[in-house]
Amino acid sequence: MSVAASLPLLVADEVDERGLAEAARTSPDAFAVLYRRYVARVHAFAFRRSGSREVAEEVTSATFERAWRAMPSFEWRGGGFQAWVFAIAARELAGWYRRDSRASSVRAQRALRLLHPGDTVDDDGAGAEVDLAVLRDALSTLPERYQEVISLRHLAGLDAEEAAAAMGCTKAVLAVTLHRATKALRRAIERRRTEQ
Amino acid sequence: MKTSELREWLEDLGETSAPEPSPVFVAKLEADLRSLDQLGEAEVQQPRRRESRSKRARLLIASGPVAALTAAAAAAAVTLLPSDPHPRQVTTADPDITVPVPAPQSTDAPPSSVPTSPPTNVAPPPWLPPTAAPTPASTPTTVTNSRTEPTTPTPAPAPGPRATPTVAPPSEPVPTTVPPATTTTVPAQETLSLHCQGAMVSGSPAVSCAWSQSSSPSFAWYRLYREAPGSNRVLIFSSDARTKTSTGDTTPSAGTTYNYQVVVTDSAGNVIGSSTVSTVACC
Repeated sequence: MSVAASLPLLVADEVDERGLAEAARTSPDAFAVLYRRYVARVHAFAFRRSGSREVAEEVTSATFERAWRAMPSFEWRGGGFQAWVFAIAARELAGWYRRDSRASSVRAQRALRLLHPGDTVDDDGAGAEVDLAVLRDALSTLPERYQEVISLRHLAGLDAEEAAAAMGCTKAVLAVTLHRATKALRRAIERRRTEQ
Repeated sequence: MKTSELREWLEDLGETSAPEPSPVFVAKLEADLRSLDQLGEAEVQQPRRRESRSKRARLLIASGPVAALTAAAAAAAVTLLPSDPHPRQVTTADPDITVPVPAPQSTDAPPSSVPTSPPTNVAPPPWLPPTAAPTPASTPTTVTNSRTEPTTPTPAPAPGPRATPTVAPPSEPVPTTVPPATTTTVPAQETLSLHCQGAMVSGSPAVSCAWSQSSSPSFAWYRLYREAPGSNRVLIFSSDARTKTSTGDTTPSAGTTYNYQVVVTDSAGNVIGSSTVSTVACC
């Protein structure tokens, strides 16, 4: 029986996340609640971006490790803890692709997926999976800020306001950055298609 | 390539089904996070990654082929919190957690070094508006015998939009022998009586609460919640001392009506008892 169920008079599970996040600056217990709340979403975000469970786990570990270590300086801004933790995750992902050895491993994985598209998690069809592999690969060639803005808006499920808070900019700047990032991504995909 | 096509791809990618993280991974990572120290303020000003990856690599290595037994032990350790180094009396806005009482000028110290607070009044949580001076809540002698008629001044009916017909009218003294309706679903639950009253202490509003002692063998924690009409419930006090049956709330706002309730939990956080709801028009 949950605490909430025992308290009909009191508001159910609408937890004051701001108070929680501020308590989590120094409290491992409070941070653990936030961790449990977001770990699956961060993992899913990293998995969508990478297509790899291994990368998703590594990025998720790195994200929460960094979040916990940086918690004392956390300040509640627009977008709250969610925007903050996804911003960290987006940077971790971009950083992951920046490192050559890892990126080459991803390229190897992509090649394997292209060779054996049926072995993938997504069963929407081999063609779609190839598209996504190309998309992921092209995304990893963009400047990190472009990778972050596209990831946050399209893969993390943040709305414009939350993504702007995560990127530390205004919504107008976010829109411009996203527009440029999308253009750059389109060019990167076209380059890859001509290479193939 | 058209922009619309790219947008479609991105939508597809955003909707890709992602597997749930494995429970072993989740439990192990949580245990690992608890073993990490935090950075100092100066070190975290730079948000980009700087430190070596060695520690994270170790985490990953450990989280890969970890034996199920180890993971179960880690998960068990996680559920047994709060562990001993943490303060016993805590204040938080979330009911499922406990939080160390912030010690002044000790933010650089790791949380585990915060000394255990004596079982007295609780400091107001930092995120609550500082409406009251940190004056000890008043008059324990007037509230310890709280099983009889409440002496709350002007126990007006809760005027908020949240007043629901499912609870006893707050303007009447709650009969302490009648369990609240909620306990009917779990008959084994213990029912405590709770009485709170507000007063101005040294010019600041304060509410003191007292409740009957739990006799449940699996008692682990008292948790006192406060709810003001139109806002979330807030955990204002918790204690693992069975005999600690009163406390003060130094953070109420004058002119507000609050509902207080104590719940009793076992060591796993399950609710094993609750009190009657005490309504206070502060102050």
